[in-house]
Amino acid sequence: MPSILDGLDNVQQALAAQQYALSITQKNIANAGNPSYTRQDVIFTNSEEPEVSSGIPGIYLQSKRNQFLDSSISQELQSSGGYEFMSEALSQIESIMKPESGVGLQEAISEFFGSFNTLSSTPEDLVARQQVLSSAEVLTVEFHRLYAGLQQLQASEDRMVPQIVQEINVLTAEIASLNEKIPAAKASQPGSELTLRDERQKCLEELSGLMGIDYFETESGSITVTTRQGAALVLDNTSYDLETAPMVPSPLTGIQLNGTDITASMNSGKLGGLLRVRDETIADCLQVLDVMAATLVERVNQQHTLGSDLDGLAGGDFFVPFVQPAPGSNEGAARHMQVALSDPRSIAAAGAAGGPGDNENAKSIFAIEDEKLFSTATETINQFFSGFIFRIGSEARSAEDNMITHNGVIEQLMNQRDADIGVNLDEEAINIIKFQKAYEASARYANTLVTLSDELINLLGG
Amino acid sequence: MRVTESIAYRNFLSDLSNLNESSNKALREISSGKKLSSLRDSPSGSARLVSISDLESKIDQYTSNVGDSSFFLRAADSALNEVNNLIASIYTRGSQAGTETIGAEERAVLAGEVRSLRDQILSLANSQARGRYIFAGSLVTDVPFTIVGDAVTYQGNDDVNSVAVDRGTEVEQGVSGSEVFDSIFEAIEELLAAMDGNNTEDIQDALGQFSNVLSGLGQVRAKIGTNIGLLENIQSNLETSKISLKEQKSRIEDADLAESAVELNRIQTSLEAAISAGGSLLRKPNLFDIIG
Repeated sequence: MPSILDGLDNVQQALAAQQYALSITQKNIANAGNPSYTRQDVIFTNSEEPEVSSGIPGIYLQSKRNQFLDSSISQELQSSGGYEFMSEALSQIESIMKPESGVGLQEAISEFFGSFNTLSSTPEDLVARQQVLSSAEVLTVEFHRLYAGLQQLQASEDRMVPQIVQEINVLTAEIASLNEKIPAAKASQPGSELTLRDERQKCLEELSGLMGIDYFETESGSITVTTRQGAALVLDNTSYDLETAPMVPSPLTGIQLNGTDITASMNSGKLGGLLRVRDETIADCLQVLDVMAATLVERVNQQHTLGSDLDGLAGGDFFVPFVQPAPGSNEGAARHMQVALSDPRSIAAAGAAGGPGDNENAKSIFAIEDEKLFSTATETINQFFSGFIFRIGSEARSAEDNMITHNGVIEQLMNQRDADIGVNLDEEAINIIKFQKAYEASARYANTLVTLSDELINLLGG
Repeated sequence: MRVTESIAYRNFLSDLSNLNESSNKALREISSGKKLSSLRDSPSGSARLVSISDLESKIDQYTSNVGDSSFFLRAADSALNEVNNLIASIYTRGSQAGTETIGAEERAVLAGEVRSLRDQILSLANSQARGRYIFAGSLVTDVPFTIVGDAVTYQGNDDVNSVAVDRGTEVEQGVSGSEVFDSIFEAIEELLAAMDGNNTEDIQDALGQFSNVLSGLGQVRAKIGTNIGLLENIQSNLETSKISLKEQKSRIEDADLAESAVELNRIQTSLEAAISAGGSLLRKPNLFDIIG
């Protein structure tokens, strides 16, 4: 049969339990605004095997992350991170392709061919001839401007690669270190590992924004992080750093993991988005410019040499001829495009052996604008270029739409997760009342016990 | 659903940022007057604008070609109009010289007058417009007609430029000098020879050719007139096309200012409402206010 003083032991335990519960409530309230925090619930039980022992008999902590929501959010963050970067980078490409002021490439092309059309009306006129040379000059400058603008953008994106890789390495190292700290914290002070676990989830989500990853929790409770292709980034308390190295022969920065180049497989997160813009979109734009420049130079030169100039001499090259650096490669055509003629008299406006007033060749050069020279002889230069503009616009539009969609999904998932594991201040207020009342009741019980024992002592002493 | 503080704040912030973005877009439309400020606003519209800008530029070139061609054709027409009158005067002198009532001396005076009229025709045949010999074919920089004695020789060629004045439409910018003038100068040369020979029968024969000469000239002038008329039609077509392209362009890229203004107003009202609702969210009482 328990003695009265045994009851006091119980009271002490009960008071400790309520105090503990109050401290957890206080922690929940303090973290109400912390988005990565998981609410902790105090469970009073003897039978179950709940999550975490508090160190006080019969008191446990419950703090369950919803792994399905966590991993869905991580997936969505990877997509949204990629599209967000693409959308921003594409808006820079858009403003290069469609300048607010000055001539665009399309105007420059129209003006160039148009100057031959105008020349055909007064072929002997030196002013009209000079106009042809100036508009050709404007055209080459426009090609140079676009090419250089895109290349600068590509280079500035390339310079971001090591920075992002650095951020990724810091995060994987942090996750590995948390993998190590969590069991230690659990052993030394049960319950303290929960915050570390939330911290680790936060790192995982930041990492997801940067690159495509998969992760899973092992039985021991540590998180294994891999690339989408399954190469390990974090195993227990070891992290594997991404490294950067130039992708020979290209001067651009490649990404390696354990000595293997994985650049091509990175396709989500900020890094994936960046690489896609750098290696696909901009590379495509540069190639389009080179194809346009190379085709124009070749065809205009060919036609120009068929005519004769103001002095009856056979026409020479209009542009400096472009020599392919390798078969099938037009690399450098836009960058090096240059007008070969400097004397307006040397423009071969007349047909072969035509007089100075003949306009046959000027008309033929003007007609090149409507020749189907592109996309295996199916498109004129205008159709080819407007198709290209359409492609960039659609790509930008779809990146932005995707970003908005994924951000919307993230918001919903986060709301869902908050609804599940977030802190609601009203609930915590109720908890405070509940634990305070229990504390008061226990204290009153102690008081009763003291009164009882006092009476007993008085009785004995009397 | 269990609503936590973070959910309420997240929703509020996201709504607010959406509204701010829409309001910014509407404001930008109003201040720039354009609804298409980047390619992504309408990829197909942007692609269409590329073609429209090319067409616009072509219309400007065609219009300039119409102006040039019209100028050269009018110059030719006015020269040929004078030539026509001069031929009529020559015919009159020839007819006088062809009658038996006048003597050799008077006939020689008339021949001198014909020569001077012929020289005027020659100078018209060598007339220049904007530095170009308009009756020289494509040899526009050299004097096309030279004279030795009474024989006029054509130094030009028959290469008459045609110029694009609209998509698929070309117009000849002039007429070949030899086509117009060879028969004229031959007829005059023959007349002068007959007058110099003081032979009225020969003079009558030579005058007989003049009706063919005049009708040939009339045909050439009719052709020029037709081309000038054609150019006038094309000019007005080009103007219509230009206006229609401007309209198409405007439909694609210009903002409807009234609509944007109404939209901006609507968004700002929502924004104010959202902010005041947000304020009450920030002041939302919770149990702590009561148990405090």
